[in-house]
Amino acid sequence: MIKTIKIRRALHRAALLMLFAAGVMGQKPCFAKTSLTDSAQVLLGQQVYRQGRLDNSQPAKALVLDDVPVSGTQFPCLNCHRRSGWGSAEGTKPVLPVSVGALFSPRTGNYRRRPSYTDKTLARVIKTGIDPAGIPLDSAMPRYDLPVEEMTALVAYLKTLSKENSPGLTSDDIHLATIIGENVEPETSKAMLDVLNEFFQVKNSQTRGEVKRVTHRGYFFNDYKHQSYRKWILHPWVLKGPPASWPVQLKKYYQQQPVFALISGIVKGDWAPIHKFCEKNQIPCLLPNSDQPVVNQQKDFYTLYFSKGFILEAGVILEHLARTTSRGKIVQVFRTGGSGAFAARALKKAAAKYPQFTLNDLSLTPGQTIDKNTWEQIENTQGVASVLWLKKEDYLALAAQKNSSETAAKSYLSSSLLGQVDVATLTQHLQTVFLADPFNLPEVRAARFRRAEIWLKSRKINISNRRIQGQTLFACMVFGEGMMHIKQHFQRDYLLDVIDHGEGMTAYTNSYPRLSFGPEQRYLAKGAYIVDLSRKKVDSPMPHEMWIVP
Amino acid sequence: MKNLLVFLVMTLGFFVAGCAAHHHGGKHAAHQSMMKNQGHYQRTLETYAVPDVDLIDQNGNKVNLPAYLQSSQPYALNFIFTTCTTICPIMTATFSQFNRELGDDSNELHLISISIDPEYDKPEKLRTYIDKFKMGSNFKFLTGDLDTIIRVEKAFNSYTPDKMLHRPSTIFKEAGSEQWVRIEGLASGSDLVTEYQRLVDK
Repeated sequence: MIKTIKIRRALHRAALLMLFAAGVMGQKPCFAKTSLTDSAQVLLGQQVYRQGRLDNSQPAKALVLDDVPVSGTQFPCLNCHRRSGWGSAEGTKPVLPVSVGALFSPRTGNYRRRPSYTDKTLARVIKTGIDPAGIPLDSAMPRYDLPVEEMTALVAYLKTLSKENSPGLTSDDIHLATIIGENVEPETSKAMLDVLNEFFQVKNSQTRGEVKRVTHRGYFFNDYKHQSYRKWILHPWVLKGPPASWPVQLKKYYQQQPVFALISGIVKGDWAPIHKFCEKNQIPCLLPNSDQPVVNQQKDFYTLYFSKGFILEAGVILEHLARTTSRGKIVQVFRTGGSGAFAARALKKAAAKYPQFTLNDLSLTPGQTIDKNTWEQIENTQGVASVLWLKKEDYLALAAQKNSSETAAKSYLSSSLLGQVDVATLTQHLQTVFLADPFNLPEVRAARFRRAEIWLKSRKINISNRRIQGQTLFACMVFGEGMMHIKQHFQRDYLLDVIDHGEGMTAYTNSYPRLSFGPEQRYLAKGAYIVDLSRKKVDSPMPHEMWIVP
Repeated sequence: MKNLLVFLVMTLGFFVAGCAAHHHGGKHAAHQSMMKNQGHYQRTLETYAVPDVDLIDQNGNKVNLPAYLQSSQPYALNFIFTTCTTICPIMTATFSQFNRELGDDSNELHLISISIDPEYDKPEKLRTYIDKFKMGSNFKFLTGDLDTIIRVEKAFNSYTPDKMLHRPSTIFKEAGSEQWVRIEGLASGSDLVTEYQRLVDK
């Protein structure tokens, strides 16, 4: 027994100190505070979630199906739980949501009942697969062996995931916009707007009744069902002047009235300024009527296109040439400053993959007349083929210049640029003519358009532009389907995740032979036809066409 | 004094134990789930008629399917696509694990995946996907044109009009036999090893 008081007091103090230390240690959970700021933590957590990478950019390590070691880059959370965290389903496997709304409320009912997650139980389930009810998750969910710093960051990120509704909403309304280039022909933008306005009106008249029911909270009242309705309000955003001025105009429109998403739209020229605006502000831009999309290396998320437009046509032309010709010179003809020039740039870029062909440009200024000289220049430089990125009038003017002697070179035309021209006119002067055609072949066009036609006629809309109106109607339907599936979770990323799932939408396509959706696939149409027009004779079956996916 | 010291030791002990408890729970859980998952896939014997079609592999080489499947070596085949988010990465990782567990025996085995989204999954995309997983030289990832792929899917009773509805299945073929063994459901690497051994040790 320790006798002296001094020593006893010293021991008392030491004991208290140890108690204090023990208390402090005990309070720290198994993931410790790191030196990162809150926002840096969330950013790191986002990297872990979306890419499966640690702070040092190395892949995280995980185990799936109990014994299969995998890396975080093979199994980032984003893949199954999607960017919005609202989960998905594939075949027989449902993937449950990990959004704030899902994780931080209890799950009642009979399926995987559990209390709400806490920071601690969340870290535990990620590492061990045991949920807060003590039940192991399906073995298809990987168990991630994350270091303390990354686990803390991931939990911090999950506490922000789809936490709030996206901008552009009030309790009654959802604000949406469509883009109209000022110099688009008035009848074309009217054709598009007629469809949008009518679709919105029909939608609002159908949902109005549902919303009214909310005031009577009877037996069948259901929170999620009745909170899902908003009045759709369309804001036409007219873009004036040169494209360089569009970012400022877009910003101003958005500041005046933030919108939840952009639907459809049409401009003359490159869609890039709008694409960049949407990507920067994380606004979904659904199916603009554009043949000049942005195609880049980084996986942009927010703009969904019908196809790669002229880039697709260029790819298909080169692929066809590569399959039918061994090597040679190609000349491409286009007017500067327009869509032909865009297409020519696309072909030049794609030609890098086909070193067996040398490409020459023959550019015409906007006002330049097409005459014999033009044709001579083409004859002298074309080698094995000429690609004529020309509108109908220009093409016909050029073809008329051709002298009677046959040329073995092939001519390629663009269906998007030519518009509706009959085959006889196209092959009047040139013999070996191929058409790059991303659209339905003539014999199926009417049948495929029928559904859209019925809708347009029943809404008394003048059918003035089948392609634009069919496409705009499709964009509205895709948006409507998406909104239906996200219900009251008005998060933009969720809308795109749902649309990617794409089930059932492909029945409504009309311009394109095949549109297919897929996780993060941003160009729905993958291929186009090359139609051998020279084989088309009056009273004979359709010309030979080849479907090519470049 | 003695009581205080005892109290301190116990307190410290609890806090230390509290931290360690997480890891103990993890080990038990892994065991439990392994026990639960045994035999959770379905195994059936099937006969499939391989259509006479040409597909393209990840390097752009043409592959005639019936000729390729004539070999005197056994096969394991599945249907996936590169933008698949849920089932396919698991199946490919499992193939990779299966290969590793077989060790030298894997030289005798052909692993094949066929894309059910062929218009997006061009050889370039196939290569990017393969790079993510450590697949051996006995792995072929095949694509082709859509109609051909649909023919192949139907021949193997694996066709779904919407690719998102596809189910996880692995189809084995023994060398020189006309019979196929179909595993329906997600099977782990060791499950596949078990099934493979059943196939070759007959």
